[in-house]
Amino acid sequence: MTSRFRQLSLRKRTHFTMRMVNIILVIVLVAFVLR
Amino acid sequence: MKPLFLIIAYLVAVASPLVLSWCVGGPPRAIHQELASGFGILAFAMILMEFVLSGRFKSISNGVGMDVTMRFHQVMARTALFFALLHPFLYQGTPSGGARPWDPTRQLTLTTDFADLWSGVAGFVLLPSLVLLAIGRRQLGQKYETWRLMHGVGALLIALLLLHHTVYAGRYGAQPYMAGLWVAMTGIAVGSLLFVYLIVPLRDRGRRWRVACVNRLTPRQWEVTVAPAGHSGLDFKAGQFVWLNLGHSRFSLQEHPFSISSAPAGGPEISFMIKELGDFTQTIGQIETGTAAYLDGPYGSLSVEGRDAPGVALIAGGVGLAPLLGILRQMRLTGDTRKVRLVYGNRTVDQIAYATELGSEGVVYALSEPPENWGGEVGFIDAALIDRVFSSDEIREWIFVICGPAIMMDIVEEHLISRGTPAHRILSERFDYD
Repeated sequence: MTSRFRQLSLRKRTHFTMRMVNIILVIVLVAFVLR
Repeated sequence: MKPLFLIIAYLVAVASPLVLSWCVGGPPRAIHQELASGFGILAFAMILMEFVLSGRFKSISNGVGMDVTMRFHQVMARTALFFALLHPFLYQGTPSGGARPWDPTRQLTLTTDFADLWSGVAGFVLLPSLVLLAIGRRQLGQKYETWRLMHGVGALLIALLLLHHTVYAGRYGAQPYMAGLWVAMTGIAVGSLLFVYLIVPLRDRGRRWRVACVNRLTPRQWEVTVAPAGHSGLDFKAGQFVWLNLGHSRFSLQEHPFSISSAPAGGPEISFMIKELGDFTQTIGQIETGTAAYLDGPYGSLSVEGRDAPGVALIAGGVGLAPLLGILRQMRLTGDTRKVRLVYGNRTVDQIAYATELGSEGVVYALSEPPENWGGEVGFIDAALIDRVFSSDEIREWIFVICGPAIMMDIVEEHLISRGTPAHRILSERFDYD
């Protein structure tokens, strides 16, 4: 997974990272709501 | 700073108000009401973090690249807007209208007191306007300087409005610990704006530069050279860029990012290659020698210094030559033993700048509209051209530095990766990032 990520272009790595950040924030939000 | 550290720091900063709200607790409410509060809390935290993602903090933008920082700023603003727009509508059905006997601390009811709500309503209207004006800046034909001023003032206003709304109307924001956290985070956000536009100009007001010369390179490209006035100059790496302010007050917003085309080893004078693009660059040729200038920088991570590789490939499209010329000049001046090859693409022959200096050795010229007797490459810089110019070993082992139109950069980068170039050996900087 890590090696595949490192072989993505800068543009794709940036998009992937931003998508992951958004997903993590939504997970934190869901945990907050369901606490 | 390492990108991973920056991402974790961002997540901690954005999620901390939500986590602290969790700890502060309160009587249980329906899921949609908690979701409404959660969206509001996340949106406000993300909006505050936008201030430090403005690209003007070297510890961030020089670590991951200015274009990546700005793209992050743009995308997170859209996510924050989405969360903020959902926030009020999810409170549907919540008891409202003031304190109830069974809820004296307003834990389960919504306030309808306009004194508490007006700031949220104003922020709700202003935020989409700010984001949409930024997205459609070019299509709307807004002058860059006017837009920057409106964007900064608008963002400041929204932050203050949302702070008021969160602390006075928020279920969690009204708690003392939460109010303290929000005030501190807003203070950092507003402070970062003041730092960039007030403290840095104040600190550097004595570091004035003078325009030493302005030369026409091609019909629409100019070289502007500035010399330090009474100081030692700028400590930068070849390939970096600065915000250039020509002929305005140090506190003016009339500054623009330009790559440095000269080399650090070339002396304290700094040159820029600037193309007329219909905005303020139309007037570059009218700038007089001796005009005062200010530089803020250096920024950017487009540097081959200290990178271990047998060769350096520079791929430039049009005015994208500027930072790569700085790198080429530095390598030539310092006697860098690595091999270097420049691929320089333009549309027509009269758009080629610095032809005499570049020479023909180690330089491949490409024209998409060549003259009849053209002896160089024909067409755009694409996968086929890269394969003709570089051997398989060079593609695998060299460092590739790319700057030019977005489509060219995408094609070259994807092709290099498909041919086995490790991604960390590909350096690029975009001026537009979509």
